[in-house]
Amino acid sequence: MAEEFFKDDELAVAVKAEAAEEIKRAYGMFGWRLSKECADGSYRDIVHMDFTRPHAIAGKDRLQLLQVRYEVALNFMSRARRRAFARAVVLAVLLSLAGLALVVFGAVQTASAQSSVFLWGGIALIVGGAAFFVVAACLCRLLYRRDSERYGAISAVLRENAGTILKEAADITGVHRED
Amino acid sequence: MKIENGTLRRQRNSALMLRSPEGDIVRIKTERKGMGKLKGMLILFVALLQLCILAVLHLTIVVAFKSYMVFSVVLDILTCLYILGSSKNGRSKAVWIMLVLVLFPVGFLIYFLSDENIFFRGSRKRYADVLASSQGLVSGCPLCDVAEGTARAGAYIKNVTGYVPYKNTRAKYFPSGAQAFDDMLVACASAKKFIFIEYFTVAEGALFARLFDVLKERAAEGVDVRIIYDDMGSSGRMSHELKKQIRASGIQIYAFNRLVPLYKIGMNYRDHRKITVVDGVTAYTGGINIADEYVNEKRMYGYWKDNGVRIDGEAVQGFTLMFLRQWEFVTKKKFDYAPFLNAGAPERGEGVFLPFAAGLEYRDPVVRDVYAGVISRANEKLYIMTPYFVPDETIASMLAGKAREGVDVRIVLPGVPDKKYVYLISLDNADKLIESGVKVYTMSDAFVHTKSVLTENCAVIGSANFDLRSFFQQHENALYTDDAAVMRGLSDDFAATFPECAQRRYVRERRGFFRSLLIALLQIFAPMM
Repeated sequence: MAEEFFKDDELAVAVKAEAAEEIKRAYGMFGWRLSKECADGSYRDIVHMDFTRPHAIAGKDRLQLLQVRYEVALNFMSRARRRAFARAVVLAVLLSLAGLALVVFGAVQTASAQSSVFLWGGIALIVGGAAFFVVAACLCRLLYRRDSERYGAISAVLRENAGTILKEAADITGVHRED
Repeated sequence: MKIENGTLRRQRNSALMLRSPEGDIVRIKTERKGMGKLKGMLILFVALLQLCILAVLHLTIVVAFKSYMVFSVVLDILTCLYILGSSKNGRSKAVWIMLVLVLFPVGFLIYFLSDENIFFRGSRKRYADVLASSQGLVSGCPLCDVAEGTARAGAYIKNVTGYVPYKNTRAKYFPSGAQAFDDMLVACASAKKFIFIEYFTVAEGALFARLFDVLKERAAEGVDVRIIYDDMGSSGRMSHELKKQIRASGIQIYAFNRLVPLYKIGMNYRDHRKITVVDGVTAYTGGINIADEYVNEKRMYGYWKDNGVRIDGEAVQGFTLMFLRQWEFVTKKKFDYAPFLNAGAPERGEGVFLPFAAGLEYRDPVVRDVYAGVISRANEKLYIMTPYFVPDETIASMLAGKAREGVDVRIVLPGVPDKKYVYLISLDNADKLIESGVKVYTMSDAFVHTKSVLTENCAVIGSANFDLRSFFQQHENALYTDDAAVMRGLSDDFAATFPECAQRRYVRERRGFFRSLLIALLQIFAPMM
């Protein structure tokens, strides 16, 4: 192979600041060397990094596949953290709005009651609305716990996979984690 | 998210800056295809607008002359009879008849505006002239002393396309685009006479920059460098500035079938071939195109799985002839092929090589027929790797039949789609075969762009997908061979790919009503996808 034709490969990534060190170490195991790092002009939690790697690195095809899988795992873990809350938050908001509507409607009915039927009906609506908040809290807790378990299990598998991926990459490149 | 232009910007007060709304931890900054999509959408919009204007004008006549409605229904019925008698495949016939009858006031009009026998007649005639004037320029090996399967494939290819079989050829298989292009670059750098490049996609980027440096230097040394790219495949991916630079450096470059904002059926016929020929001594083909994603230097749909094959020796002539014919077609200039042919010295090789082209210059669906022949002759194993799986009924029933006979039939599809609607159809088609015993795999976190078939008898590697566009509409090329080195290379590639895949399980009708409806609708337009 006439290596004079090939300059080093380049890679530019935008990463979350809290994961920057982890990414640097991981990409090191994929054979990349950090050439430049700078903060984003618009968002405080984004860091831009440029890497270089010898074009004819041994096991390049495998390293590329492993790197994609590592990035997919990492991004899914990040999204899983958000998804664990997502359904519970949506349910909480919907039930709370319904409860609030009942409380407000009940209060209006109670305040403007012409007869005891409307008075007790209004009070029942207020109690029902309050019960909605309690139900919302219980349901959201249940949903959050189930989603957390589900995504936690997936994240645990992915974390383990990411570890295996990095180990295989390190075996190919010979660059092992220092910590 | 705003991307900095590679420069360190001044640090602002971070407390006042926002947090990024993006959920992903890491993002590769390579995605740039907005302009190409915009151009394509604009052309599609203008073409559809013309079709609508035409339909409105036609309907105006229908309203003005009531009896014309009866006349148009009669024309629709005649059109349906014409379609039934045409040489289209069964699925296309059914789709067209349905469209003509559903859109009955304008159905016949739309069909005749889309009929290649009317609106592609000129191009067909030019292709016929090119083929007639370049017959008999190369001579391959006789078919009498080759394996029976190869002899049959060779006879079909020779009789239908005129391409001949060769021996005395050495081949090397590359399981990735990166390996193929690295090797190709070195070969191009040593070119003495000519370099021919014909690809569906030629895109600006790190890969083309490397190649262009070499081509520029070779052109300056007097090497004849010619490039054909498909105008749709490369749409929005090569700037006018770069094209000017290419021409200024002495390289001849032509677009195949320029995109124009007109409703005409010819726009649908693309040059999907992938060929590089160096000095008539070395040739490359495979699934690869000249764009960064093919060498994984750009991230689009996860890992990009592709392949390529290099041949040295007599069989290179087949690819040289393929390129020269297409060159004559796009440039509309006649020239002498002789200086470019018979250049490759015989190489020590084990197998027979059948380079072949397919496209509208041939009346037969060459790709479909070659694949059908390969499938019919497989008795032990039949492995297919393709990005799209939209076969016609013949191929689908042959695959199911082979699996029922006990042949190990496996299909590898992408785990990440590039076109979601085609992917839905591909999975639907593949899943239907699982019940027959076909094993369907999807490669995790990867887009499989390899187009190859392997049996115990032969390997077919090239540009042709397992879909109706490749079978009936596009200009494709491939290499059929029984060479042990290529078959071993492809077999190793399959063996290395299977563990990276998830095997799909057959689930009877678990999908919902709307998904089923969507797939049914998409299947109608499958012949055009």
